[in-house]
Amino acid sequence: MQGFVSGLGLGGVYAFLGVYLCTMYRLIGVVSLGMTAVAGFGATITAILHGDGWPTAAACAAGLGVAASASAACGWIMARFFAGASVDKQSAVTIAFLLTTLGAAQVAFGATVQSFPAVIQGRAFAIGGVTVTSVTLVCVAAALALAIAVPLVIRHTALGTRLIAISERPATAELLGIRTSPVAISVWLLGGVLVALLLLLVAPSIPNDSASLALLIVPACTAALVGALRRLGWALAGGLALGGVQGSMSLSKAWATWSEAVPMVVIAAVLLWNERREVWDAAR
Amino acid sequence: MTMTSAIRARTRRAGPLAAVGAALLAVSVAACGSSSSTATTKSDAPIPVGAIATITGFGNYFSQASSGAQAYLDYINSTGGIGGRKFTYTLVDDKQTPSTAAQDAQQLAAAGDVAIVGDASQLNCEVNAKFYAQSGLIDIPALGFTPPCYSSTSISPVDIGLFSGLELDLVYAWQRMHLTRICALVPDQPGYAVAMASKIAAWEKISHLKLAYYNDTLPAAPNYTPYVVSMKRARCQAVVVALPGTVQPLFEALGDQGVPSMAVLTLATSYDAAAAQVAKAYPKTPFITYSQFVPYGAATSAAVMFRKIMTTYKVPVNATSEAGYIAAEAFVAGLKTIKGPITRASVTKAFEGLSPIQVPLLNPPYTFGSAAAHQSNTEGLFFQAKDGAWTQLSAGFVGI
Repeated sequence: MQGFVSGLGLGGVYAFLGVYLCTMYRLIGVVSLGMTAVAGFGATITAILHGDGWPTAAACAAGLGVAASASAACGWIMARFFAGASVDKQSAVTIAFLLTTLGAAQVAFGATVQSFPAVIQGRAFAIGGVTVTSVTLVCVAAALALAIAVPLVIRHTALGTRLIAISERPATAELLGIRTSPVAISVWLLGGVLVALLLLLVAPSIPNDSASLALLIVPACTAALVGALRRLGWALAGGLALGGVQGSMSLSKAWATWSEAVPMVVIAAVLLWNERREVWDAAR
Repeated sequence: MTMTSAIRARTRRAGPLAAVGAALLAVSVAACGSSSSTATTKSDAPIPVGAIATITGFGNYFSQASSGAQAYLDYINSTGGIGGRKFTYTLVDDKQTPSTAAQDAQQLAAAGDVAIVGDASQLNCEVNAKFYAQSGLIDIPALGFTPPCYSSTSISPVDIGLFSGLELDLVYAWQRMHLTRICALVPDQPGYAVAMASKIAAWEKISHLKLAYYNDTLPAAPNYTPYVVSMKRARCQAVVVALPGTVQPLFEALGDQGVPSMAVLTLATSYDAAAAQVAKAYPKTPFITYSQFVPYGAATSAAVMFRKIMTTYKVPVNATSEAGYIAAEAFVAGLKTIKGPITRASVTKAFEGLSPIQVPLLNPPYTFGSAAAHQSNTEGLFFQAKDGAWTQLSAGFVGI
């Protein structure tokens, strides 16, 4: 129990990132594997500026600006050159974003430890002797808000209809006069800001070097796959459960070594489960 | 003539030529190899020295140690070298791949290097210890990351290392801080558990204490909250953390879970300005580490010289570059005991028979010798982070 609750802090991060990945896929048909690397780059800029004496608010604004600009640039590249490309090709491009950003972070920041400012502090409540922090509550609340708001926007607003059109029929949407590129770039930009903001909130309490922040994409994808890239509630629950299970395993000497492998196991299980009908049909 | 028969004919004609060519190649390679193993002994020929470091990939921060070693050798070159011979320093990248680390060592050996000095590779000792012993090469790492660095006949690092470093922190927490409920967190890496267990057993023997909580299954970048919850339950007064990298998440977890006064002791890699700055936001948590050498910012003439040389050759001034600098200093000090030509064989013989030598920035004397294991450095000068800077705690070096 204590291990599970201890893992909810990271679970909240996974939940938000997983819900956002599903949202991005539903809105513009892209799963950005470089999302956390780009946002992490911006967040690290905040840490450096804060360390140089900048006020917290100014440092955060600068870092968010870098993350937004970099994300918008990724969105422009995707919209300009890969708008009608297959999911495979688009995923490969986002991997290029991930690797390029990681390389840039290595050159720019090296391995010097950074001190991230604590934007939100404080304890919320305790479960089983383990304190759940305000940051965890904010992450879970943000993931829940996104999971509720996105379906409402899609179903009940003109903007939502346009976004679905862009996601499912980009060529048709263009012919109907919907300017797909600016909308897609806006989604990338907004995503960069939201994810960078999340990382700024949680960075003081999680492994916060460039590589660790970038590799949050793995548990994020795990949570998104639990939701089949469409069901935001499932992605939220998947993220929380993943964090809780890893927390529990880390306290068991027999299982601790395998806690980092849980996302891979879940991804493999989800993909196999999704393919089960094809396999069974083929067998028949 | 058809294409196939033409090819066959050319192959038949080429066969003897190929054989002769191969033989000539083999002879020339053997000649190169043999000439490199005896090394050039001309009076003004350079003394080739090599090192392996992680230059690309994560962990490349430690390659600054090799830069420190190179800077010192460049300085010696600027004063005329040793016996009129200057050094050449070849630094190769292990790319965090065992096969590359092995190839690097073979490359350096084939190039005729007389020794490996100032290396900072997490793979080098593990992969190449036996090769060095077989090739008659000595290795003076700046930083020894794995147990083979301290248990090989041909390798003698200048640093304390993770394992003895853990023991040193435990001794300090017990002996100087008078704590009885001490905990430890150790990363889950191959070979670490056994090496750490032996150091903990040595500490338990002298202190007559047991660790209140010990976990050796931490990933490289852990979520500290579950461990802090366990340490809180175990009523730990201090935790020794044998993980490199930032401890900010640990400070946050200690504060979040209501135990901010639990002291945190880390290894020598934390002794730098950035780590002290991180601790500034957590004044309630004592953050203690040690310098395993004479501090690079000290006012001693040796430290002043170190800073000057690093600045001259544009190498960052920190404990990592200092480790490489000291490795090169120890190497040059050992070379000065050689009476004849400096070759790989004479260098290896000199270090195998080396009496302990004083190296200015190293507190205990540096040793090599022909023993199966080497651990020259077992002392640290302890500091606590206060207001973003390191404040000296111990009057002198504390040893194990």
